[in-house]
Amino acid sequence: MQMPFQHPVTYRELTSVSPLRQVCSVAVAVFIAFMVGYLYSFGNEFWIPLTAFFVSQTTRGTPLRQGMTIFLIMVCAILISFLFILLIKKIVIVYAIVACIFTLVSYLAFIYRPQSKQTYFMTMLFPVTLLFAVFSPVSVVAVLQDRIFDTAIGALIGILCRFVVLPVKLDVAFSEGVVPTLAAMNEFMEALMTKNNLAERRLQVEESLIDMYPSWIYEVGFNRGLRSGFRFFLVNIERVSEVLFSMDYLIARGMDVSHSHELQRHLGIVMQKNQQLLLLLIQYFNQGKIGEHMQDYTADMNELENILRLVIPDNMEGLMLSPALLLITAFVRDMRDLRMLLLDLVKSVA
Amino acid sequence: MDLLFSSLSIKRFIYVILVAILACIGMVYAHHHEAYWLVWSAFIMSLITTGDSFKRRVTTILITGFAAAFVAWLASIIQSPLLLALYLFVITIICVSLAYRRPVTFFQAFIINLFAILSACLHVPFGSELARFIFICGGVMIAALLQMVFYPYFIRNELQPYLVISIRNLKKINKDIFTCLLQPDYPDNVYLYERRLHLAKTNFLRALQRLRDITILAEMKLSESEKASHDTWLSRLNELFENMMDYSQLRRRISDYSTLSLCAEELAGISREIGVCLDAIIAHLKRKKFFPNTNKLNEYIQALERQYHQVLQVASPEPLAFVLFIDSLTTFSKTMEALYANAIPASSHLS
Repeated sequence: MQMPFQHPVTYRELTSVSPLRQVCSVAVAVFIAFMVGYLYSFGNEFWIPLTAFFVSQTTRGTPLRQGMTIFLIMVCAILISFLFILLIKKIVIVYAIVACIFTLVSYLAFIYRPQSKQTYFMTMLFPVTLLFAVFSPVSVVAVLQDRIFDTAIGALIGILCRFVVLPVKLDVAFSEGVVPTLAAMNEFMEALMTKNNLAERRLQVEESLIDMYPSWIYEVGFNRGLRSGFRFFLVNIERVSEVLFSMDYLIARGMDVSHSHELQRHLGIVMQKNQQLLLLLIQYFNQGKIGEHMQDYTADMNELENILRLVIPDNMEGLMLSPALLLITAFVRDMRDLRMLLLDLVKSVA
Repeated sequence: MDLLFSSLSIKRFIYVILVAILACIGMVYAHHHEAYWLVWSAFIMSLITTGDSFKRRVTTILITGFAAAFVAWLASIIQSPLLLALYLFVITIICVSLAYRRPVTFFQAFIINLFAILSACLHVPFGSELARFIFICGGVMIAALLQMVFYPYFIRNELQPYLVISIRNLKKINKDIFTCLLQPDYPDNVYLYERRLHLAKTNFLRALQRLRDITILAEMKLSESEKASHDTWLSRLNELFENMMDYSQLRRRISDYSTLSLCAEELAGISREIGVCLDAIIAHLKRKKFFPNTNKLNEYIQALERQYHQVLQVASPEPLAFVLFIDSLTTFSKTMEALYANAIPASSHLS
């Protein structure tokens, strides 16, 4: 069978995806918000561009929901700053209270590190808005209503720009996240067989799961129509990574098939076919279509299991008494799981 | 709450309080209409925690701070609103691109962009542009200089909490894996449980990544024995994680989840005891009294093995899945014993 790519793209080449759409969307939101703020601002402050900028920091999954949440948090902070200044006459005490809130929240955010940038942003949003509202050159009492109106306008601009200015295409964004992860897994699979750069390849998979993997599909409120399809891929791809980690672990425990040339050869064949399936998936996510894949993907696996049966004892008790054979059995079982997962994924797009 | 009273957390608390006090005092005594920038910049810059060494941390704060002060100053001297809007457009493109291309710079780029926007919107009286620049720099200096609090034992203080965080996340992964095995509604709500597991795994990998970065940097400054100790910790954590991934395969390998109810008590016990074993390591790292012991874990694994021989190998359509699961758990227990024996000096068990 022809490999889908003669020269598959490496993980490192795929991590430098251009963020043009997101960049343009945020920049246009700030531009429009500044001009609207200059011409039509109620309070003549910074709230319109500031809110538009904050609202633009949403992830791809649920921009509307997150945008509304950011807006509500900002309005709450503005209202609380108003209450502080209204109820506490001495401004120095208000400063002290706001400083305490900021200190406490930033300390708690530090305790629960490491967080994703989105979680950190949402955690610090309230104290930062409170800081800007209280330590501002304009008294909040005089401009409360104006600030809330400005914040609403800013939020509207920010959300609209996310949807109108080069909106994120969910399928493209999903592919951009999934392809590097699959490429990293492909390189890891190869390393598992050759034992070359194994640690480095494992780190690549870990890195891709942290930075590239499209976790935003899991967000509450994500498009119901697309959710189940995307999540099917997400869960299965993550399970593939789990199987690969498990195989790496079995190798580290000393899984060795060098004594059986036949077993070693068949493991190589099965893994190569697994890689072919993975490359078919990469091709699908890159080009939107799947190439020729009419091939028998069960015979090699059955053959491998038949060879294994010749090596291992007939009964489970015997197997449990031999750690080395148990390791080989576990490895072959992982190989089978990997095949099933990849076949499920390929079948769903074929 | 594990890390509430670690030395780094206490230092952090002291640091943020000192920054807040100095910035507020500075603003009150400055008596200048631009003095609020001092508070804004000091508070925001104090949030920067990137940088794996003291020098890198301070350099990051200073570079970010001065870049923010510069873009704010430029924004304050541009008079034409259209030019100002274009200026913000360009700054936003640069900052957001940087944040996307190098995720580690996200927060720094965000701060620079934020200061440009704030300064562009807040009109400065003629001749006070420099005052704005100076006040922002003043805030930056407060945040950077007070980093001195972290200077003593910087790397040691950073390493210890990340070890604790990593092990705490391992505990969470283990709990989520066994929840998948023990909750009868798992097959009906796969995405819910898998999402939890995904979050736990990502948190662990993120903590391990940070730990690895600090360890690599620390190697230049540590003795040979300390280097070896840190390398052992890293490889053991990796091993434990992959071991967990190995025994988590059971949830996918069985077709009939009702068979798990036959060994629910044993599974719950194993899950609990793995948590206890990991807690012992956390206690050691926090220099608390602890009793490393895998006896109970081994007892539950043996009970599961008995259950396998008596019931599961007949009742389950996939007996091999249980054999591999039991083997993986036994190895986990042995890894824990090795960790107690090697990574934790015997004299410190009851310290």
